[in-house]
Amino acid sequence: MDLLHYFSDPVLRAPTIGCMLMGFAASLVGMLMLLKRQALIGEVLSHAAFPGIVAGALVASFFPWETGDLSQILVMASAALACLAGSWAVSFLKVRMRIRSDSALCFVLAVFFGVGVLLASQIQMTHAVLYKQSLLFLYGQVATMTDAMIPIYALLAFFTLAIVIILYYPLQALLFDRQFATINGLRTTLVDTCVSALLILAIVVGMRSIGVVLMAGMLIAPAIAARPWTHRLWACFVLAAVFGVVSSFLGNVVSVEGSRLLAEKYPEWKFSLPTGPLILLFAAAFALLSLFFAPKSGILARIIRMALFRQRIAREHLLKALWRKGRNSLISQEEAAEMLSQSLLIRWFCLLWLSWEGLLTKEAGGLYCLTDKGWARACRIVRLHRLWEVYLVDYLSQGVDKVHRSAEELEHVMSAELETELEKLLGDLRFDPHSQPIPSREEATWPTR
Amino acid sequence: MHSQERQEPAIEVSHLTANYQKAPVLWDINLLIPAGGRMVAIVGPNGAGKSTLLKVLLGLVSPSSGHVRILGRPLEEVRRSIAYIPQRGDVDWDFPITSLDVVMMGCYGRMPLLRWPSKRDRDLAQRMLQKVGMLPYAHRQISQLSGGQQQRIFLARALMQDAEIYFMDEPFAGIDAVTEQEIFHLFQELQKEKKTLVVVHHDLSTVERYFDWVVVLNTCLIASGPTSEVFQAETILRAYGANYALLNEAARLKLYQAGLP
Amino acid sequence: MAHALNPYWGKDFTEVFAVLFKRLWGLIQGQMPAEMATDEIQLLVLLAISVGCSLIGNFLVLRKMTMLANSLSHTVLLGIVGAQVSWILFLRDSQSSIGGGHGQQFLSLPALLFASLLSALLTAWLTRLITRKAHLEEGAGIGLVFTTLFAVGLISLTLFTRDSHIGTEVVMGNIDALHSDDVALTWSVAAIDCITVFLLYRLLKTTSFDLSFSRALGLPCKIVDAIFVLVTAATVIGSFRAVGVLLVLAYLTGPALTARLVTHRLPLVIGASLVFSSLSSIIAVALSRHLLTVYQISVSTAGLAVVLIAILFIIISAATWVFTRYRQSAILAISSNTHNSLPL
Repeated sequence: MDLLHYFSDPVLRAPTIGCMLMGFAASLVGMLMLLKRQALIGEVLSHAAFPGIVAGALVASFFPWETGDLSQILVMASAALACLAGSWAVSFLKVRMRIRSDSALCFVLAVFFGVGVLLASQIQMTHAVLYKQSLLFLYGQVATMTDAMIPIYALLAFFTLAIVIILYYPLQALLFDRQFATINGLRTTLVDTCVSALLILAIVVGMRSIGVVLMAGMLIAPAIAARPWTHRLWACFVLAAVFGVVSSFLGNVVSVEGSRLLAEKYPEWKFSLPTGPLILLFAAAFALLSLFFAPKSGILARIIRMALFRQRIAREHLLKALWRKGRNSLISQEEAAEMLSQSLLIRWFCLLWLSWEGLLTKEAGGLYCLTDKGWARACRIVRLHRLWEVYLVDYLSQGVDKVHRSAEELEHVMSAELETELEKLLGDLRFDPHSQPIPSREEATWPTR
Repeated sequence: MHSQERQEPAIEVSHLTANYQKAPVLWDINLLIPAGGRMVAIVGPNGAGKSTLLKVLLGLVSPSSGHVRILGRPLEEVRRSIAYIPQRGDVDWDFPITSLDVVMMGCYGRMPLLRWPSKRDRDLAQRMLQKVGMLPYAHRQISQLSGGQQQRIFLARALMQDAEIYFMDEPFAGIDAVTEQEIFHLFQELQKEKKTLVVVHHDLSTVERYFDWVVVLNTCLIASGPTSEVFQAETILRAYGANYALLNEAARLKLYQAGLP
Repeated sequence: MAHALNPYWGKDFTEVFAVLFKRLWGLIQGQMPAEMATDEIQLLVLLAISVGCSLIGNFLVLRKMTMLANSLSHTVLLGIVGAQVSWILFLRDSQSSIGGGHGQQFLSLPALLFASLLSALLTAWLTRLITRKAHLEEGAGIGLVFTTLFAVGLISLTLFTRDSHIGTEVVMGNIDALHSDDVALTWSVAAIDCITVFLLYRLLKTTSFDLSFSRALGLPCKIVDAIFVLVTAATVIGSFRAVGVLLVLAYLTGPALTARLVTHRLPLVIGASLVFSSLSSIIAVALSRHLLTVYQISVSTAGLAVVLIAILFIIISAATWVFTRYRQSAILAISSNTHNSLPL
């Protein structure tokens, strides 16, 4: 399968590039809407475009234009107007009539779409060709896209990118802390208007490729796919655009190849796989995979982190128990079992890991002993525990008999900064609230100087 | 005295920890409130976890660890004996419902599913409205009432439930002084009937006047006991001036390691 | 449409009602007509949808769950496909098959209930899973789930029915292809809605108004919610042949929002929304016949009904606004008069 011919073949070229431009614009704007926590307004506006599409097609039919492309432009303009009307209607319902956001969105979506259905049904008998053309915009139909439309879509997509770049810093301020931005003089209403305009642009670019019903998915899925990978705003946009473009390309390829395969196997069926839903499926797949596999915030990463943390707690409990027994004490596997009360496998794993880290050595007779490094580590844990107890009693007024439990939990979560802060706050202490000695900093450091 | 000691404590909380997103809201709370007609104030700075404590006690929020006993038993067994007045901000004021309808909700907990409220329930609701001085407003839609009037409706609803323990979240916030006095009188009547009232209270200046037991909270429990013993300047200073930065950071780290993003 | 046999053919707006009442009168007197006219079928189906959606829609609006209805309206597609597949695989019931192309789609009541169970479960469970596990914002989680499931449903349905136009029918309905079995189906769903709302009225009211109070009281909030989601799914699926899954959202939200402008007592709100909704449906049927007869314009009755719901909303809001302003100025006039006539 030669993928490059999707860009060279005159039949496949326009649809492929058209879809990719749609993916590009939709994912950029979708990232914006996701960060603005308004993920579903795109769905409402894209459905609201439908009556505009039908009306535009109807108006265009009155003009004796030769090429279908000019009428396409009229349809796009009319769709944009309908989106604008939908946006205004939502604001009016929310602000002036004090209707709740979800009801306002749902109502506007359904009513505008209903108007579109009404108009479409009206031309069903009279302008059958136009009717079919309008319906194309429901789920998109790229197969009949012509080369002439590509520059227009490219221009609009580029325009979208340009606005995002120009407004990058105001957008960042607005998304992060709206109140702060307003107080500091940012023209928030103007930026909001630009964001709405971007949304409408994206819908107009994409409605031929993926249709108005599925547009919402392309606004959401690539953004969700991008988000878990990075915390930097510009990287979010770039990744979202990449996911959007790639899923559009793949969806297009699969629909063409799949339809070809189906036509070969079942020639009597005579239909092709719809492109729009396939693009969306790829985008959603990327989203789900990202949510699962992204490092740090992905689900898999969290599961692994949780397991490793539990393991560490078990190991540190063992170290503490050895510390209590004394510097050169020995324990056997059975004694470790009593201290840890874990399954055989976990115990074995703990001992193995501790040995590998150089904290334990195996002596004669299958007994384990703390190394110097291990002693220092154990001292550190106990030191942290007792420092926490001091903090809880002196600074948070906890009862002396109650702080042990908290400290048991907190001793395992230390970072170096936290430890330094704690020491700075408490000073160089000798004894904890139970009058037990606190291991000194030197004791807890390895290698010893 | 002896009979009081043999009674189960009204509320018993041990090692309660609750988190919200990445920060601890309650940390290792151990609390015991004896039964027998106490008026308990829960005080502390904003974000101290007072509302969360109430919600955990009522089973609306699940804690990360620890457990709660109401009247010596788990919450589910004693639901009939507790009443809850939520914060005024939690309610949808545009809901098409009248004052009388709101008060009648107080008896829904006791009613089987398919039974409609009877005349007796309606009469009782009207009596409760009368008690709080809101009978003339029985058929008003609730958004047409003032803050104080709304609070009285909710109090009437709670009174309908005829509970042993009444939980209230900032009942005096944003209402006029006259209503405050009247509500307080109703509280005193309840106290005479040996009911326990647990109130999240925002106004430190009125604690000593109204309440005989105080719980001072700021993520951790600072103090809990009779007002005369506990409500001292030093305790309040400790609550409002405590250094939580390190605890918050540690808890955040712990949540991260335990699998949250 | 069998033109010659349709008693409504060639009738304008008022004549439609005349024919309707004549036939109803004949029915009461015991004369069964040969068959139901398409207009009557449309009328009955839309009325059933009006009744069901008014009852359910009010609580959707009050519970702020309209986004769930939006989400369900997309995922029911997959539920329908799933139900059809399982039905055919496990029961080999050829009666309830969607297939063989245009105009032969038909869903039996048990299949519908099964489909709604599937959809409701998929939607609620998957949304909760994704929102919680992936820590997504609620709107984003819902949006991802329902758009994906819709895409899956669409592809499956297209493959299943081998009909490329099925997607259009799903969102727009095909009100002209209804027949009498649809009447039975939609009224069964309306009956389910009535029974649910009647039995659970008190619980629905309390949990919609004050959820934390209800939970503290020990009311079975989760069960009520689950039943409500299930019934909403059934209502949406029941309407998909007539009006399509998107337009049913107008039936769910429009009359409820309109009724709230008029009264503040819940039973009256529900009653008013029933009236508004039914009115829109009835006028839509008559008006579409009128437009066809007098102006030779054929329009979708479903689209017309939705537009009428919107127009009714606009009219009522304008009327209440005028009324409130009039009352305000009247009060001002009275108070300024008394002010002037007060002795010093």
